[in-house]
Amino acid sequence: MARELTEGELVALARRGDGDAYASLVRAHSDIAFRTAMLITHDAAEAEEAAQDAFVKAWRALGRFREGEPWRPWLLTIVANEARNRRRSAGRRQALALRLVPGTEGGSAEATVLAGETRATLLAGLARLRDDDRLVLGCRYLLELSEAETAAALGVKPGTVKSRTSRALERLRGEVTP
Amino acid sequence: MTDLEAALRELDVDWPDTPDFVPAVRARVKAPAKPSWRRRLVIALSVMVVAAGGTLAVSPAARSAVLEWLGLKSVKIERTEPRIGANLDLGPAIELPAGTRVPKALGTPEAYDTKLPDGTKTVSLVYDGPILVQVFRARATPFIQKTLGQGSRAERVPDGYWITGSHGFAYESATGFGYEQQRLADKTLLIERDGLLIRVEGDISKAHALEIADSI
Repeated sequence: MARELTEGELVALARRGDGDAYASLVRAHSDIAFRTAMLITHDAAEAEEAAQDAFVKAWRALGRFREGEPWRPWLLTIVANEARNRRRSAGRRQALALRLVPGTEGGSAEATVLAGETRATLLAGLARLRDDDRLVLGCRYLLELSEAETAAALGVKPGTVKSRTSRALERLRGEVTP
Repeated sequence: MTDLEAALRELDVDWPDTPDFVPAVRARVKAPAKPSWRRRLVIALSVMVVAAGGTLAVSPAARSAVLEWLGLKSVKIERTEPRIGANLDLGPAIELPAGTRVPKALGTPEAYDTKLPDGTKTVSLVYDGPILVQVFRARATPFIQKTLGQGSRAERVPDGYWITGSHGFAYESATGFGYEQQRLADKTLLIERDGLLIRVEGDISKAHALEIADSI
């Protein structure tokens, strides 16, 4: 019976030069790579370049990838590096203009408006945070990366992610509490 | 999980559409088959011959054919965001390897054992100025692509380009693809000659750079 290849099998094939296997890996990780780059560069065009370059670099570096380890944190390290390089070179950019998908929750019109307001307040609070606070919260809660993946993306130790996250949450709480 | 964390997780962000990376990545990683040891040896030897000053008497017609084969005739220039201030990162200083061919009339260079982005190595020569001179070996598969930044200019010169403004360039070597960023200055001469990519970089005039490349 045919079954889908596991990530580990795809990586192993790609390491042996299988372009189709690598294309599957790229496809499966496009969203997370692009959005991680978006969080860092705040610019869709730069995020696209960063993610594309990262996929190319990751292919070339596959020989150095330790088989059996999860591929996503390893990839995100490369993506985040590419994104940071672009960000540094481009200087200060405007804050990431995050928009919310219009609420679709059921319930009364009033409940929908209230939920919308809460979310807008939260987003505005996020936008006022410092870059590193916004980044750690973005990785953990918007992209739902694990602590290990966030550490890989931010280039810090997993323990640092924990402390940075709780500090950033405290500051966000301060921003959104009247 | 606190309410705040739960609320953050529930934020439904309207991310921009994720581009389809597969075609572009496929095109860029279409790595040629690994050369056999015999092929590698031939490449290594030909690099040594060039480094040792072997003459490369190629007629203009033959040279033109070589360039066409290498794809330089249809070099594609991509406009991307410039990456200013790439570090020098030339690797450890070494004694100039015996027999290394150096540009004439430029004094004694400092030599560095430089690892290139594609994993191959080259000897980087650095002269007062500073001026950086490197030679890369191109692989059999026709490929050369330069990725220039906005605000940079590429001017056609015989067998190559004179690039001004912050920039980088992509290339393919024996082991794969590489992307080199400017290291010393935003003036770089790239010359394709018989399968070799000659790079002369520094705050120098085009005429001086051409003179240096010609003397290699």
